[in-house]
Amino acid sequence: MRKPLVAIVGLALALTACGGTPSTQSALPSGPIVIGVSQALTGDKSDPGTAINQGYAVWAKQVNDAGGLLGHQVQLKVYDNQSLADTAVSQYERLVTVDKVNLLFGPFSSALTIPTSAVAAKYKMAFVEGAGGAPKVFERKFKYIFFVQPAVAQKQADPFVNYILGLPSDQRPKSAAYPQQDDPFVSATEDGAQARLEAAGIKTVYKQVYPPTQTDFASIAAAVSHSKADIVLGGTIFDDAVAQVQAYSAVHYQPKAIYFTSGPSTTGPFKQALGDKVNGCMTGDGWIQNSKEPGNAKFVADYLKLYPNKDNLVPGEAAEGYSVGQVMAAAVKATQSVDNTKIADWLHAHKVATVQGEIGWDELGRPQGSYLLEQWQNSVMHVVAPKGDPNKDADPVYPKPAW
Amino acid sequence: MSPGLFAQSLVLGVLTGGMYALMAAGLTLIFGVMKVINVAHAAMIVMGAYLSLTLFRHLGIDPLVSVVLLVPVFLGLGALVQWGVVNRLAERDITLTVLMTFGFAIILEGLQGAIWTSSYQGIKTAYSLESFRLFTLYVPVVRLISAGVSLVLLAGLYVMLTFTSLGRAIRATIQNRTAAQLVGVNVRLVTTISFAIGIAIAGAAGPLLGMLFTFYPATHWLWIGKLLAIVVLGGLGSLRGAFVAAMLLGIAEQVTSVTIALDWAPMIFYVFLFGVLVVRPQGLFGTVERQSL
Repeated sequence: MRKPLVAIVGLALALTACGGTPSTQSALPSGPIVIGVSQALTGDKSDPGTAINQGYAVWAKQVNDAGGLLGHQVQLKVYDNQSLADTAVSQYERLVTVDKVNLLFGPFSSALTIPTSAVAAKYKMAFVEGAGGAPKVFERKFKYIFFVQPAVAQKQADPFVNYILGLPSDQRPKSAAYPQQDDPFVSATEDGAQARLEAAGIKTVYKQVYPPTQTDFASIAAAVSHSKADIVLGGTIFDDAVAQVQAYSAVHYQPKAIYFTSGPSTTGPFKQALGDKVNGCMTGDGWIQNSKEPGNAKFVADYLKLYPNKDNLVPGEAAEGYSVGQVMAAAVKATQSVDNTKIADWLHAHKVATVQGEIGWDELGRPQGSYLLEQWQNSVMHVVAPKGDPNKDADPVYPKPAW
Repeated sequence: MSPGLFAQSLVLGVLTGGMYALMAAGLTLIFGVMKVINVAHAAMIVMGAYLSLTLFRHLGIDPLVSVVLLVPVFLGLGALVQWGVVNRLAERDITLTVLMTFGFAIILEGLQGAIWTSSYQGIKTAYSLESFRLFTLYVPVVRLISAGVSLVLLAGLYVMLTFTSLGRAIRATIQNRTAAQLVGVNVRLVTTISFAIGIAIAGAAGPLLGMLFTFYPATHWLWIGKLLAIVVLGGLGSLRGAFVAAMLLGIAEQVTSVTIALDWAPMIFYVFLFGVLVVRPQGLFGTVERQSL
């Protein structure tokens, strides 16, 4: 009788120890500062996920070449979560409890940030992330999340909606289609835009939600085409944006404008998959390759050195990843530590200059700025709105060129 | 919904259904001859898609050419797997083959992930996005080609089964294994050949799947569900049944996506399946086996 009892008590004690003690490494290590990342390097989010990690890598290389952070080299400890939320959660658990990393960077995208940020909060680790802006990320009121983009997901399509509503009444579209993936970031962006467009009298003629595993877009294209929608707001991540363009083009459907929540900003892979069909596609983002923000030129040059490609394109997500590094570096330098509570407190109180511009957060880690409207024109991504933005380098092409 | 859109979804449904028929044909043939449910069937089709993708990317071989190249490869592979593994298990306990093919599906999925990663893939040729207009309807060229190739292959299979002595031996084995053996059919050989043909058809379907749909290692779970629904609905072991069920479900899926909702489309397979099984448990073209006199 005695042995099982001892075993049960032992197990209970062990479990209590696992649950109760945060294993945060708050002291500066003797060796390199290790930063843990679980990233969507394969699976349905692999293109943008890979791009974010490239941004992390460019940042780490620059920091190390300049002598490191507080005199320590930085080292990225990366796991591939295959775009699966459960895998990402267990990998962050592992990074904190087994690998005992000093700092954490977030994954792509909201769908993975929502569950993994709970792990970070449990261990009181600052979760600086470049791609989780859906309302659900902030709903649980964690104090350790910092979303490194200009604004939250609901505001992403604002510049597009503003532009559409600002068109002269004879040019303004009368109807819109909303084919969208079942994803928290996508629904936040799409619902916000749809409500404003409907309020302005632009009729919704198609709205359908498809699973992330959707592999056939022919029926979607047939239905959107028959709806004769003037404009399309595609609620997409990446592969589905590519598939939508291909399917619309196959049925010769020509909307006057097409906006994707995500996809066109993953510039290299998007261009590679679609060629000239990228032209006219719009998206909302916080960054553009030829941005005039301080440090951007060096980031772009170093990215292309590390990841050369024939079109010389830098994906938007790489800039988001790089910005995450800039934010973390600023906090570590300012607090002179890798104490995650100090880092979080500092970030709540300060704004940080990034290649996406200066970003500051409210008490829940929500950034307070606004997005840019971007459009592919002649195979180059341009900032086309809002008017007066220093990075605006072209006017929107509307209606967009035919596919 | 406009009649135009309905007609468009019918066209897409018929073309997609033709492709489903080819994918399900091998599965139903293998079940007919061996009473083995090959859970790895869809994983083998996806393997065909990956091989075709590799041939296309690195050697520029058109996926339609790789259909021809993959058939003998998968034929040999099928014969080897049947002779080496499936047959041994089937003779001991037929239910073990379900576990075995399930395990084989997982191995194939892991292998695909290791070689090609789990990123989404598609085979995009120069004619991938072409379509032509038929009255008010658009007919996507790739879908028409794949339906055409499927039909040709299925017709070939039908002719082989109906008019050749091998076909007669296969049909005899499907109908009554013992009786076939009694009249001199080499049942073991026929079984191996049938299994191999079933896998060869999966190999041929691979490049077509790769041209039409996005695929990744885990996609085979989505497909095997659909394919099992098709072969059960058509009547296990019935090629004609699989064809009719594939058409029916292909059309129902497309029409549902445009008339009701996209997320209803995958469910429609099982709604049909339950409906038919309640009314006609042997499936549309299945026969009731007499268990005892």
